[in-house]
Amino acid sequence: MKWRYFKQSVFFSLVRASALIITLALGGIIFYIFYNGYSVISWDFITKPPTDSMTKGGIMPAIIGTIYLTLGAIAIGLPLGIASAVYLTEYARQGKVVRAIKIGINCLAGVPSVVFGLFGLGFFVIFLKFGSSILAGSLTLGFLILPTIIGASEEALKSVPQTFREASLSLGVSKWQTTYRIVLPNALSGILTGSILGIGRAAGETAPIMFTAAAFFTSKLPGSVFDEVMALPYHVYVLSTAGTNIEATRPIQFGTVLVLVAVVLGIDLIAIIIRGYMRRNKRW
Amino acid sequence: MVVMGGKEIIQLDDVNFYYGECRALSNISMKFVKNKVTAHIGPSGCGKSTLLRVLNRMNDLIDGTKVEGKIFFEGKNIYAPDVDPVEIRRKIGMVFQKPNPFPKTIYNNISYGPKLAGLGVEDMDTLVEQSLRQAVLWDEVKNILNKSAMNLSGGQQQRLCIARALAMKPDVLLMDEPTSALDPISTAKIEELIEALKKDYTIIIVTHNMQQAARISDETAFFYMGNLIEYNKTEKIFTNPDMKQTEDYITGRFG
Repeated sequence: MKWRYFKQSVFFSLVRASALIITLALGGIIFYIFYNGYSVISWDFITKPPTDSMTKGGIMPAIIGTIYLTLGAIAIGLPLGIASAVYLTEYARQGKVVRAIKIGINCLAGVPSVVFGLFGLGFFVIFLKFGSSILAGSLTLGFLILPTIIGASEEALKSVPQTFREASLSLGVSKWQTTYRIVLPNALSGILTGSILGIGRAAGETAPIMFTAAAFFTSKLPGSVFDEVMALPYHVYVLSTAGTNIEATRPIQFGTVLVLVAVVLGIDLIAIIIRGYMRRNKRW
Repeated sequence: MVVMGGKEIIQLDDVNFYYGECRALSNISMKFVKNKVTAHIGPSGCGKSTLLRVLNRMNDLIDGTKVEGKIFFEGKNIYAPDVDPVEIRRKIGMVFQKPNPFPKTIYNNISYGPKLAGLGVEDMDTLVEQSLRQAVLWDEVKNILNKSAMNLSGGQQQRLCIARALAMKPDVLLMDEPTSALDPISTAKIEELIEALKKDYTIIIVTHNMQQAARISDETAFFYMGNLIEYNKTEKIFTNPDMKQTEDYITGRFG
């Protein structure tokens, strides 16, 4: 009897320790970034462009650039992803074709981000002549996060009870109206939950925007979607590998990362608030 | 074929139904009479619910199903290629086994169908009240029309679902074991309701409850293994059935 309790407590301790390690790792990373970067954070840092060959000044153009690119990626990835998921779960006949599409989506999720970058360069920047621009970068990032959004949307759509669909259809309401009026509204909070992951990824990726959107340095803000922008992850990459004085800009690098984390959390927070608002009326 | 007195509204002509390779209904030929309550009885898996869903083409939604034969609704074959199943479902309403209101307000649950079907309702308030009154729910909900339907009790939800179906002003109401998830009091209310509704509607109800079939229906059809074994006046079925199988089932010897 005693031995059983002992085994149980050992096992519980192990699981508890595993959970703790994850929390510690996360806490450690955040603390390390904060500790190394907080000294440069100031109002000027987030509202002024870089000066003195990017060794001084702020990172405002990169913040704006990342926000534009992320919003652009959402604007492209979310509708496309939701539409694909609606097709796959609501309309497509389950069978070989659907299975092939799903395998394709999973493969897409496994494609390294630099491949997306090169694809974006070849297709959007050069072939479609968008140039290195917000448009090309957003499209590339949009495709990058597509698998995440499709996956999340499929799960959310499947979790809408079949009885809702049946009830609507039995009233002589068409399939499209049923999808639009009943299924989608009830799936939206789930779709957003899953998409938050994709949003974070879009904001943080460097490789896909390196060739398609990000500028080494520009102090002016973009005037149209065909302009290049600075972006936070790329700025960190530049400062820590190709900057004029890598050692001296260390605090700026950490400060930039800190701001990047804050921007991602900020965008997530907006999504979480929207989701919470939608969930209020959900009960089944 | 069994012939009933009265004007027929639906006629099945040698109907077979398949889920993939599996035959769920075999050579069903029968007629449903207008403004009557017809009960389908039989052991689980005998095809009675399947038959119900064939009548409003709800089985279309399941991949790999196939219907053979003809089903005439007011003289027109509803499986003819030029027939839009959406139109059929407007005229043949359905109430499901488990109450399934939408996560919307009570009012919007009722107005949803007529609004989206483009029935051109001029006075939605009146239609909502009328439908809820028909389902004997109005007095209980008239002050909470803008509250979520999810707050209602199971029995109230089921009557709301009936009201929702009635708002489309269908000719036929299909009911798939509408009281199996309800307590006895709610069941009694729904049974009373069915009695009152047959004045204006043709009702086809699937039930597992033999007493219920005996209480509320005018005609009863007994199904077994996808076959229509016996179809006759309810009184006749429950007092003096022609078939031995029917008698065995209603006396509880199997099923």
